[in-house]
Amino acid sequence: MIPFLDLTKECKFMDRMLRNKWMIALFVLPALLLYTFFLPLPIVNSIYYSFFDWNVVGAKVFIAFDNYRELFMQDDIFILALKNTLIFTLESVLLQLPIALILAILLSSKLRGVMFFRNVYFTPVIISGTAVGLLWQFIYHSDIGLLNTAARAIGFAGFDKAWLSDSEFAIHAVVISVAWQFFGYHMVIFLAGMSTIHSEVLESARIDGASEWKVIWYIILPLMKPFIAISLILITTSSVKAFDNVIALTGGGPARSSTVLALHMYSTAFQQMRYGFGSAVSVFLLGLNMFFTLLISLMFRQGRESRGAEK
Amino acid sequence: MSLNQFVKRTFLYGFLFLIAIVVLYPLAWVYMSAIKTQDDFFLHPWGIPRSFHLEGFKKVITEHHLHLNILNSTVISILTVGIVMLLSTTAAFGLTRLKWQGSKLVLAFFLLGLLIPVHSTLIPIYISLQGLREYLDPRLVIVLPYVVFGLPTAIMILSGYFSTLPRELEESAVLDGSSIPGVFARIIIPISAPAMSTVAIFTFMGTWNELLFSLVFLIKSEYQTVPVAILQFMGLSTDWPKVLASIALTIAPSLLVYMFLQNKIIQGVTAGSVKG
Repeated sequence: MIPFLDLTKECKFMDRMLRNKWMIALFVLPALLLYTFFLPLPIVNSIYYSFFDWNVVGAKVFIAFDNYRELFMQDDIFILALKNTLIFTLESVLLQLPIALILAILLSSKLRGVMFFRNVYFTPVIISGTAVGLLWQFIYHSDIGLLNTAARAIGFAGFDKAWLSDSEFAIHAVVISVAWQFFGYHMVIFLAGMSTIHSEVLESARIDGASEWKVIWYIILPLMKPFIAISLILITTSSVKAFDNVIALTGGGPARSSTVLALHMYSTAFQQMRYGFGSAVSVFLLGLNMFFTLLISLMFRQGRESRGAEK
Repeated sequence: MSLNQFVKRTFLYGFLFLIAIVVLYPLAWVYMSAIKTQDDFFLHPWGIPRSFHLEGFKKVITEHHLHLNILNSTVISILTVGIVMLLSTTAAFGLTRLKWQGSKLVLAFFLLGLLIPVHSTLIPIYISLQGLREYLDPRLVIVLPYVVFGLPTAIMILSGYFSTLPRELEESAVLDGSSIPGVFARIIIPISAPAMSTVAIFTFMGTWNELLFSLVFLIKSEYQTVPVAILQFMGLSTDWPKVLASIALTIAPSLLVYMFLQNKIIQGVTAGSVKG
């Protein structure tokens, strides 16, 4: 069978072309080198720098863990930034996840205008955090702000206050503005999740007399677990590195009361010019980021395994 | 439809519309306020404009030269998108269509970048590019980290797309005498337009909106990108319609892109979350 033989020869020729080392290097190396130089390598450098006392003018002095000791023992603003970052993370989860989930469930029923609502809710996601932060300054503004204008209009004049000057409220103000910006993003993730659930499953449960709450609790939520995990990872990791929305809305103020880790890294490294110390903050930020990613993946993997064991 | 159902529907739509207003009204307000006179703005800050005034837009250009910042952002974003497209299509092709041991590992190495907070790379990147910034325009230098921050997502999307393409594509082209780069340029690239446009949109938006690196890298005001410029504006001026005109201009490109490509953008997010 000559054609058959020809084919294997051609396949080998093809195979050799696809395994050509020079070709592979030509296609992969430019991206790989640039990527390695600007993402993984700087992380290693960050860790390295964090062991030094290093100002712009002076020489680098190795001080082992002194930067970290200073962070936890002497730097009150770091502790505040850490506390705010954790508040930010927790509140963002508590605010965005339920809203996104409820809206996704409502929008995945057979309604007219589902696409319209979905696309409207997603709109703020595409805008820069800087613009959103500045915009919300107007919403919270004590004289002309939307909140106070609305409060006065409906007669709650006592509700009226200078929101962003309140050092207790400032960080929560940022959380609310970020939730406004991103709930639509998580809703879109959950809508993708809802589309993987067959409507017959839900229908048959309803026909069997399950209440809407039971359908949500026993059918929808368990099936949505992987999507909830993705959302949780995205919310926690983006909260840990929050910067744009904070600096644009409160600037970390009043009197640093709403500062966060990324802002503290920025101000120690680029305003006080302490590269080593700033690196220690950024390493901590990275660690917290990894911690949340691992924690959530582990939590949800365990859930999956135990479910497998039940079968 | 029973009365009960009718009431339920009405409430549901009422609720959905309420949230739509909460989302859209502040955005519409930016534009309504930008065209108000200062008096109109202070008398009715949240009302419908009683005047049509382009003074705010004029001032941000003539007094604050915002057009320079818009130009910077545009050039930086377009350069970044172009280089990301070139590097990510070639890399994704090499990782998914060429045959070599370790290609899976290298792909995983690229995707690791999705987990790294770019904030933690700022100080080392700033230091390592210090020398380069003395010779080159910092607006060009900043493109380097921007490109790299776009690569992991781009490679994820493109390698996902490339691996769904049938092997016969290359085979028939090679048998017709085409080389590997020829196959890449003439076969793979043209049929990958949908995935490539998703990559372009996401990279563009990420770069256009980026603040932290711009803030650190671009010190001179004529070099700054739009987010840095409007951030500094806010502290300088109490002429609110003018400030809002600057915000209006800043968010316009993103809103325009979104208006035309909303379904595509949302599908991109959906595809990412289903795979992730």
